[in-house]
Amino acid sequence: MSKNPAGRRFRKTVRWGAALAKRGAARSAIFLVDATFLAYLFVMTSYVVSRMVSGVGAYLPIRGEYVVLGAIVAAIAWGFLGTSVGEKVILFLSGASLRKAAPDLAGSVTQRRRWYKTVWGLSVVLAAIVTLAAATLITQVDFSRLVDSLADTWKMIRRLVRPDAEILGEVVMLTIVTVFMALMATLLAIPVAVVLSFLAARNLARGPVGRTAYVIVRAAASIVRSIEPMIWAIVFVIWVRMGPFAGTLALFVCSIADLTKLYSEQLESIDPGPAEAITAVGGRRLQVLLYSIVPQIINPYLSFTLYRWDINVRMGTVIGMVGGGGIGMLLMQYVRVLAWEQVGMCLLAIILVVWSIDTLSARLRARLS
Amino acid sequence: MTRRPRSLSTRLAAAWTALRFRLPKDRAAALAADWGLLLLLSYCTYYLINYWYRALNNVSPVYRVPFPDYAYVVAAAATLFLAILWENLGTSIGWKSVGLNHADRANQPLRFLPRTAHFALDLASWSLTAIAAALALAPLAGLGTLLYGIVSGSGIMVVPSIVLGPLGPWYVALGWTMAVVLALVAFGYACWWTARALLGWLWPGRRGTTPWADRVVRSQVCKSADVVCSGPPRPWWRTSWGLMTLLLVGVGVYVGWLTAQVNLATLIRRASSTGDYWQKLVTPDFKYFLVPEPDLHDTMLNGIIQTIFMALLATLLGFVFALPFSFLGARNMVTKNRLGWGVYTVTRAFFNIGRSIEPFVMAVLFATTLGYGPFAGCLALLVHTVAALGKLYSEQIEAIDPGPVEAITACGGGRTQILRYGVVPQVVPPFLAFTLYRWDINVRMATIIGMVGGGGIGRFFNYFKNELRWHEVGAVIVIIAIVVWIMDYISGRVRERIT
Amino acid sequence: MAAPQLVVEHVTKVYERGDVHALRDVSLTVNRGEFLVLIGLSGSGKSTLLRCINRLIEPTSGRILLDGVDVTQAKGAELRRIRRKIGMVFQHFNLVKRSSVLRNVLAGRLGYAPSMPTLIGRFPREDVERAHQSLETVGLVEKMYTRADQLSGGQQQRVGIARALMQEPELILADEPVSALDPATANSILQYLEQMNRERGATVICALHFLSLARRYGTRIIALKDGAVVFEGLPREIDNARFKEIYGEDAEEVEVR
Repeated sequence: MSKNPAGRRFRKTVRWGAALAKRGAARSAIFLVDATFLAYLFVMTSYVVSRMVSGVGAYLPIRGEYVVLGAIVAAIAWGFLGTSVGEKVILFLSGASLRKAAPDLAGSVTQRRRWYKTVWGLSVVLAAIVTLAAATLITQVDFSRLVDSLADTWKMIRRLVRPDAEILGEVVMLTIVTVFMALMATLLAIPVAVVLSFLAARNLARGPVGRTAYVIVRAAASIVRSIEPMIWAIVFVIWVRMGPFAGTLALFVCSIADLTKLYSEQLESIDPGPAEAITAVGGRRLQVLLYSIVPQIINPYLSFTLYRWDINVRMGTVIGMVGGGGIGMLLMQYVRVLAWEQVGMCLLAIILVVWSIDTLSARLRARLS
Repeated sequence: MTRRPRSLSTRLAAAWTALRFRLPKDRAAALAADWGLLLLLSYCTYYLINYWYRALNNVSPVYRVPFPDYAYVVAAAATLFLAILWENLGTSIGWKSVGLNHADRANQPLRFLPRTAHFALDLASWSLTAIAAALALAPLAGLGTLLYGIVSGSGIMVVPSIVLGPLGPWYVALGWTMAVVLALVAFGYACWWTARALLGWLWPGRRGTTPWADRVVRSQVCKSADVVCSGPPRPWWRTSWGLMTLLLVGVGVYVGWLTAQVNLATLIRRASSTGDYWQKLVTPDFKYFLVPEPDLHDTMLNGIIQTIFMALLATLLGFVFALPFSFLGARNMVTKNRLGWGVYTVTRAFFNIGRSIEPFVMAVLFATTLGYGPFAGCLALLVHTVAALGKLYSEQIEAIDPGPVEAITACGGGRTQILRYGVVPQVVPPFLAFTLYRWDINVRMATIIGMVGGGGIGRFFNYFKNELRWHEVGAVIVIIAIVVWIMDYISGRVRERIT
Repeated sequence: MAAPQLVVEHVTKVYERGDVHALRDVSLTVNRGEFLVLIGLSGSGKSTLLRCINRLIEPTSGRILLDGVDVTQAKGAELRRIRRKIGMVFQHFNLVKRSSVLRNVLAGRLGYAPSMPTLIGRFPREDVERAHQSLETVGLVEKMYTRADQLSGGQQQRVGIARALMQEPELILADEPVSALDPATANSILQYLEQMNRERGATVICALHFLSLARRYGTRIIALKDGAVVFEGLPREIDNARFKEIYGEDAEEVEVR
């Protein structure tokens, strides 16, 4: 049909090139996964064996370079010899698109053997066993300790379930402080997160400035989210000294990062139709924003905010334990002196408040969606 | 028909049934929410009274205004009454949030209000009207004072003259006068607007003779919402729930600001004085990543491996334990008889309690009895994981498509066969996704659990922090961030494929 | 007749991804008061052409003149002024689902209303009155305060038409306005468009799937295939051979009444 054979040939070449590049990328990804898997298997096996034989775990019985070299050679060999773990993983992760681009990769499993009869299946099983063994050894699982401390634990539990009502007033006041800390952190985070979310939405980022802002905001949110609120709390305790303000700040920072991510994902999934309609009637960019985007995101935003408040209350209870104020601080005081009845009272308050706010927010969120 | 003597338990059961009938679950939840919110509001009032009293009288910060003991009971009762009143007058926040509306109310009239209450309502409405009128008159009074002040050289003009001493040159005096006039005009406009809005809100047009009572009667008698609402609907910020939400948020921010001891001055002042510490924190020192730390006899690499495996073991064991529990906690699986209900309730209670206590708190308890180390941390994570995964799993089981179950039952399958072929295939992918997600969360939690004696990288964090070795603390934070980020990314990708 | 209202000259559109030629050198003229129907298979470029006219999509090359003004060169305020003269009706209605019908209709006035008050949701009184009238025209006054997502598909499309009415358009672009609706509703929607065409003198360019509807409402038909114009003429000129040429050999004509 096309009148331009040269153009057609060019397009065909481009398509071929794309397919080849995709295959190349897939091949190298498979190789990487295989090599990592084999190296992991070797290192963990040597750890488990040495730990069992000599009592001291050694990840590397030989020089690390040799392990890397061996893993590379073995991975290459595996890639040629049969279906490797990497092939399975990459095919699973990339799905249909890769199958179309590189049919020979997917087609290599023509013989339909049950998975536990294949090499990759068996090596996965082996890796699972080694991992379990290593996990047990590394985390120092020791059931005798569990049995030995049974009497102590029982004593503690018996005291825990008899909460001391004398400190009720104090506990209630501090629980309210925790709730308000969470509330403040959430409310203050909303405006910041709303503004940032518009910068961090891929479909709204236009031009070089927008792209740069997108990358920066996304990366910053991702980094902040990877650091637990507890660590932020410690940072802020040093900054503004102990007290609820430090806890609020820690929750505030984490809420901004988390809400920015949730909000911007919501922005990315909005229906572009209404925005198109408002543009078509001659609306300005701000009007498009207010008349087509904002009405679509209000409810999800509220829902995420409620969710975040719920998490903040949860986090607020423990943030106090490192000096962030609220009920956690009281709890930690009593734990230090092993006053289990009082600890029981604090736990009771925590359970009640977390549970009720959890239920409330779940219910409201169900209504909002 | 002879009346059989009724035992106490029968009577209680009957009363409970009557209550359940009159107060269905939705309404009970709504009432509880409204009551809770009003209680919160009254707490805020109490807090503010204390705060203002202390601020005005300059007394010590631990001083509390001595309220009589019965005041708390009265407050609780009054807020309950107000909550009921609120639900009968308009759409309360509770009603709004559980999704009830006036049409439902018309179908099931729930008359908490006796007819005599109308009188009280009218009284209240008239006093509110009077307040509105006073607000409207206030600027007039202010203007009068100003005029008098200008004429007589005292009045409101006294204020700047006190501040500035003698009034000074004429242009300063003129400037002050202008400023005061402008402020008064602005204030007057605001008052006028408020009063008008308040009156308009209280007394919407010429329909009905007495505003509040009219609203009550219409909300109780009118059969559908259409009859009541003709004309444009109020915007949300003029409905009772909207106004109340605004009030709550406003008061909440104010009280929250005070309770959380927000102090921006400290934040800024101490930022520079802790500069040394920031500088150390952002120049991390990875010396002990591969070399054992002399006091802890371990490397940070070992620490982070320990953390990851702690999370892994807790997740795997959690999966194993949560699986059977989740079937016991799923309503459509067990609640065929009384025993089933009992099991369901107990399992659900365990899930809720277990989830409410953060693993960090559990780790404190376990570390105290079991001794410090990764095992205690792992157990703490395990308990929380079982509860959290159990809840997610059981919700998933409750949400399965009943079609296949029906089909297997129709084929004559037994109970275990129904489970194996009707239920399990449906829940495997979401279960895997939840478990992966949980592993991700557990790695996050495991990084900090070490701070209270749970082993792993958190131990390094705590040690370096206590020794004030901030370069190393920075390094630990970087390691944690990287590991958590990688876990987050991998689990996100895999979950995307599974579901 | 006076100068044509709309002139499309050699418009080509190439999508960057996958070098797809959505439009190949399309030229056409539209006179004032016409009801022009675009037909063609899915993906033949009807939507792209319509969207090029009000620049929701940037054409790669070519010129589009509306009343002698080059649309493709317009920028900023001028582009908005051109857009507000062109009403658009969409396949999936493109209403804001969570807003009320009134607000959706008022949004059609955004190109005219003073911009600061609209940012807090205020419109001039006469715009609100105009909204009442538009809703009366499409028979939805009693649904004014209902949320848009509580209406049926046909009602939603009528709201879409009312929104276009608010613009007092000289030209209406309708992008398959009835393909998401059942046949009976489809007819009533097209009748509203016809009414706007006859009574208000608005030119209509309407993309349609079904030839029977095109024959019934169109004063002229243009057929697109693979982004190029393959037919241009009166509705009655389309016979079976032409039909097969436009829609492919295997197509059968379906009657929609």
